[in-house]
Amino acid sequence: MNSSPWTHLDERQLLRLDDGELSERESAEVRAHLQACWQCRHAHEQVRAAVSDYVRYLDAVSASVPAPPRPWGTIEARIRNTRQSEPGVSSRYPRPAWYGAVAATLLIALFFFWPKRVLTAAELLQQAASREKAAEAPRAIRIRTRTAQFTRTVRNASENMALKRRFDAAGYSWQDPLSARSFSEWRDTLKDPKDRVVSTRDENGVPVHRIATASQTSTVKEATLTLREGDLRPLNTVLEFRDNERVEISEVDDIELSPAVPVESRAEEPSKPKVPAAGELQVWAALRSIGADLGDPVEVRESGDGAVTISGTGIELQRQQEIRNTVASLPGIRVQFDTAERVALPPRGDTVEVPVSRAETDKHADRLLDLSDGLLARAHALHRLAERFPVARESRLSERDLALLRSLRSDHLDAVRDHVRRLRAELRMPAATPASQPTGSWQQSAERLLTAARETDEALQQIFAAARAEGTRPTLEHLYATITRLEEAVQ
Amino acid sequence: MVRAIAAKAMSAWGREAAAPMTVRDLVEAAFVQSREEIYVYLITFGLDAGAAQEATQEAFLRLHVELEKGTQIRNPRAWAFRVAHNLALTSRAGQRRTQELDAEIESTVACGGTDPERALIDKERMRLLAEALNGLSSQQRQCLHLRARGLRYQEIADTIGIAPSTVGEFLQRGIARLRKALHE
Repeated sequence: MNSSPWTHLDERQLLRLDDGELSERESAEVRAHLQACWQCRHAHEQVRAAVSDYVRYLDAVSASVPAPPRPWGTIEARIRNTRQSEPGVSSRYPRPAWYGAVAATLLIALFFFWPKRVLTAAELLQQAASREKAAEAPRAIRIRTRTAQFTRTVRNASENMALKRRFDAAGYSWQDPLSARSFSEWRDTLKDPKDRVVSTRDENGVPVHRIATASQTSTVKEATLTLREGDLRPLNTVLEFRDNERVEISEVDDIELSPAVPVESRAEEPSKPKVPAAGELQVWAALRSIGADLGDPVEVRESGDGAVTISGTGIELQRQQEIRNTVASLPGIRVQFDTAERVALPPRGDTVEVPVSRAETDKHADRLLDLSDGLLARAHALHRLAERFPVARESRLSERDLALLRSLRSDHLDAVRDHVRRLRAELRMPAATPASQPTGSWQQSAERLLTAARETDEALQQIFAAARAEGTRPTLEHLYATITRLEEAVQ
Repeated sequence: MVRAIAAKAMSAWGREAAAPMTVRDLVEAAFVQSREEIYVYLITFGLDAGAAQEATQEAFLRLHVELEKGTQIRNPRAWAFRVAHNLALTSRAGQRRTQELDAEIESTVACGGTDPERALIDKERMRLLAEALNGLSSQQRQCLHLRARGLRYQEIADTIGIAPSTVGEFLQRGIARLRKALHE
């Protein structure tokens, strides 16, 4: 719990305090902080005011809700009717000819809508795991933490060692994290599993079972597995760690990406080149044409069957449509935007948020920060290309694709150079000293460029936006040095 | 056994049973106490008045069936909300109703109070709130609604089928959005 006198409380803590959802210790800490900190007390009052306004709003909505079309009556009559319709209760009325059809319809309706017995977590997991054995198939999964998101295939667990260590420590399979068997194996290690099973529908209206298992002793305080009701296929797993990290693993889509291959034989399969990267490269080029590779949280991934999937979370609907339209003419492209929630973007890392007030206060600083914003977006896009097309993969590209890749690269580099030139002019920087020639591949240069762009942005923020009121601000010399490193990287 | 469950369930609803109650007494009392709030919830969820009334009654009918069977229901109020929520999912007509309510609310709020200036400010605040709420997802709105009706995080999570921590996150985002709309 972060409530020392030197760090301010966040809204969630304030809300949870009022809602009685904090532990006694946490409540005491938050209250102590509130006594000491006027700023947080003010924020607390604002949270309470918003809650109060919302309740008034809801009351007003309730008052404007139309009255029920019929008087409420009592539930008694309906209970009685239900009893009369139970088997064995003789009817006082003759049965008309259509009785059978109506009864059959009712039975079908009852089958679908009557509450079914909810299986226990162990029963559901056992059934789901047995089906996994029958239909082993690698599939693409999206892994989302509070600060990052990436896509990989099941069993291809090479990415993100920090997450792997976290999963290993919890005893949860990192290799196949979206699996009933993995969930079940983790659950079996718990001394104190507490299960909840809910049968509901997911955000797409698909009937699902949700198994939530909590533990007081594991580093995972709660794990939730969502199984599709029809075939018990795992659709989503959420792990809530004790340090408040949250990892969500979702299936990228329902289509299996490659034929079922047993784990053992797959492990022995000789590695062979993936499907040519032309499809993905063309998608990047199409995205470039509308600037969707600059700042939009778009991911492009090739799957085992050669299809390319474009995915993204938190993209405005209008922008989603623009992207769909742009790639509509490309064959074999899957577009899959997550529209369930508009999630907050990760903390500032590769984008710049310029406060509105800044625009009114200092146009010079605005221009500099806007330039830095554009520069970062380009550096990030170039870096992403370098990640997606490392040297080994690039060497397998056809001449045509190589040309396309070069053209995308040049476009970004030209833009970076232009931004750097304008930054220099805006800063009235001293004449440039001859930059040392960079060594290594363009992919390595892209890495250096991104680092330098981030350093430049950081320095600009600290010097011109006073983003951090406390602490030592960097000197102009430091800023100039970062810009020089930028220039070296774009040689 | 069933009587014991009924008494326990009634206590969970917030009322102590003065005398031994049958399941039917319990469900009837619960129905009278909570039918309006569940009905309003379903209306704001997108159901028309007729469907909302039907689903509300259906939820309590199912509660009766479950209790009669001897099913242990720890919190029948949250259970009734959850069943009503699931029924609404199967028959929801869409979100248009919410938009219509936002328009209706302006006139409702404006009628309150005798001070015209105060009424105008209130109206403006409610308009801002309605706008901000429209920017939230349906699940975030449902979380806010259910919390405002007294359900705890765990109960909300059970009702709409998400993790309790997600409820906390949705509520925080919802309140942050409202706060921003009102103070910026």
